[in-house]
Formats: sequence, structure tokens, C-alpha cells
Amino acid sequence: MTSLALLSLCSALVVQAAPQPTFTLKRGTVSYKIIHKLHEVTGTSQAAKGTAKLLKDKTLEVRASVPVATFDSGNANRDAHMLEAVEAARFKTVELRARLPNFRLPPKFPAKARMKVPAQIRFHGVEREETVALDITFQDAKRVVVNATFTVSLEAYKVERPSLMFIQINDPMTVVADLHFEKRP
Amino acid sequence: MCALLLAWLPLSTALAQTDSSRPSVTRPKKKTTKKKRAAKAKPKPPPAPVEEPAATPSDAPVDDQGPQWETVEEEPPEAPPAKVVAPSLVPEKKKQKQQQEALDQVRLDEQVKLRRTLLTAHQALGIATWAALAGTTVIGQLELNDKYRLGSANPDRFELLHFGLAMGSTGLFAATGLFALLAPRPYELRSGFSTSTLHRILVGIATAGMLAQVGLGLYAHRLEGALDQRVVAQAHQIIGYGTLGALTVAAAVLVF
Repeated sequence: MTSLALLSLCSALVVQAAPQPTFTLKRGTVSYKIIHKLHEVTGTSQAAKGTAKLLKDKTLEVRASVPVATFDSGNANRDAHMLEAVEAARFKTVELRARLPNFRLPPKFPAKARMKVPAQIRFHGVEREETVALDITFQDAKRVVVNATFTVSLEAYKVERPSLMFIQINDPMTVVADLHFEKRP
Repeated sequence: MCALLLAWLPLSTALAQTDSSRPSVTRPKKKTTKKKRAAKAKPKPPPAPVEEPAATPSDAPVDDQGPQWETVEEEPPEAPPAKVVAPSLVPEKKKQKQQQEALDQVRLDEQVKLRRTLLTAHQALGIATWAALAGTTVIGQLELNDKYRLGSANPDRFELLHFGLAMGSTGLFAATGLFALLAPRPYELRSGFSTSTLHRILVGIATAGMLAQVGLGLYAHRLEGALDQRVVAQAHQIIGYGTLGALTVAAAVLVF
């Protein structure tokens, strides 16, 4: 009886001591796409940072952020205009936080999953919930690739839409992310 | 006898005076001995307390009873010296930094607002300049046709209109450029390709063209009736098309 109690205690300790799987963003590309009547513009940043942590209650907590000043559209003048529009000096980053409940790691690798999750986006000092479409690919137990796509309304985030020749850019802006996570050793 | 007494009295007085004034060694000795005798006869009374605070060490009375210790209240130890950086200075510095940042932010916001206003006006004026310059070019071409190709009966009919449009487009061009030059740049351009750099190069070419056009136009007008006027007018025409072209491309690089 005593040995059984000891065994159960030991197993409980082992469970508690087991590290929670945490994935760190090793490299990632985040792009925005805006549409003007005269042309389309895509700005890309490779300076995204983030983590994904699987909590004890099987909730996957994802956090990622990108400095707005790192987006490059291939035109320095346009990028400077973008920084003015999003007030980059005051609101330096775009942040994403998402909680995926009941997240289970795949039993076999490689594995893919497609899901839509609610995520909190903080952009231009405004925090809103957006629905993000995710394509999650576990290449193996340690490497995960997440492709995310979602649209945001610039006006909902109180961004004054830039205009050219007195024509404003379209309101919905598409954001695409290609994030490569690796399990922390 | 009486006379003897009277003679002796002043003499004795004088002798008495001489004794008191003369320093004598023997007299004090006599006094000392008297004192000693008195001391031997009577026990010495305890010395009366002398209240002489400022007594020199040599005069100070000797204490037979040993030292009478008085409890001296110890002075509290000196507090350690205060640190050089007072703790209140740290939040003050932080506060100053925050205030400075807030001021910088306000300044930046103002610059962005001013830039937007000036560049919006620059766009409007730029469109107006392009239209005026296109009109000037068309009217100039018509004037040239009348003078040198078609042989119109009234070859000067477009002259005033061309002159007016040229003046208007030159003024608009200058104003457009001024609005762009006055626009502050709150966010620095990063290195690399920039359409605004290309725009500026093309506008620089157009500016040179505009200056040449004003000079050549006035010079051609002065050569009215001379044989050389046609040559100068043709140069004016070519540079006019070149200037319009440069300005068109300068706008196009931003738009497309």
C-alpha cells in the first residue's frame, strides 16, 4: 500500500516536472497587401518574433509581434508614407495573441491541420479580435510551419487610409504570415 | 618736656611711615610664624568652596577624593553620508525623459500633419501645373503652325494666350515645387529604390526645361521679324515637349 502511494506520488512529480512544449519562431515572413485603384502594394517584414506554448490544460498559446518599421514594399518613399499612416513612432509593433484550446500534438509526423481561430490583434494602438485562418504543418516533432491569412479593416484600427491622387486605398488589408517555429530544447 | 614730646611726635610718625613703605624681609617672617602658631593651636577648617570657574591648572585645587565622574550623554553617532544620487532624482530623470518623449511625439505628429497638408496641396498644384503646361504646349504648337507652317492671316492670334498660359504654368510649377520643398520629413527614407527620388530627378530636368523655356520664349519674342526667330522658336518647341514629357513621367512614377 505504501509503495503504491509512493509510486503515484513519483508519477505525479514526473508529470509536474515534464516541461511544457514551447516553440520559438526561428524565421518568419509577414506581409500586408493593400489595393489602390491604380496599383497593388505588398510590404514584407522578416523581423517577426514569437512563441507558441502548449499549456497544461492543452491550450496552445501563441504570441507574435512585428515591428512596423521593418516592412519593406520595395519603395522607400511609400514605406515612409506607411510609417506616417500607422504612426510608427507611437505604435511600434503589430502584435498577435491567440489561444487555441484543446490542442493536441499530432500522433504522427509529418502532419497537417487547417483551422480558424480567434486572435487578438493589436495594431495602431487598437486591440481587436480577428478570425485567422491557419494552416499548421508539423514537419516533425520539433519543426512547425504556420501559414496564417486574415484581413483587417484599417478604419477599424483608426488608421487614416493613405491616398494617392486623391484616391484612398481600399479599406480591407490582407495580412499573410509564413512562420517557422522550432521546439525549444 | 612738652617741647620734647612735640618734637618726637612728627619724628615717630615719620619713622612709622618709613617702616610701612620699606620692603622688609623680617616682617612677613614674623607674620608667618604667627600664622603657623595659630595653625598649630587650632584645627584647620575645611576649605570653603571656591567658585572660580576660570582657574588655571596651576591654581586649580587638588582633589583628594579622586575624580568625580559625571555621566556624559553620548552624542549620537554621525549619520552616514547621503548617497550622491538621491533616490528622488531617478524618477525625476524618468519623468523628464517621458516629457521629452511626449514633446517629441507632439512635434512628430505636427510634422506629419504639415507634411500631409503640403503634399496634398502639392498633388493638386502638380495636376494643375501639368494641365497648364500641356495647354501651353498645345497653344504654343498652334502659334508655331500659324507662323511658320500654315501661314495664317493672323499669325499672332495665339501669342497672348500662349504667353498667359506660360506665365501661369511657370507660377504653378514654382508653387508646386515650393510646397514639396517646404514639406518636413518626419520619417527618414531608408536606403534603396524610391519613386520619390526618381520623381525628384525628373522634376529637376523639368525645372531646367522650364527655366530654358522662359528664356527662349522671351528671346524668340525679341527676334520678331528676324530670320533667326524660327530656329529659336523650334528649340523652344522641342524643349517644351521635353519639359512636358519629364513632368508627365515624374507624376507617373508616383502614380503607377
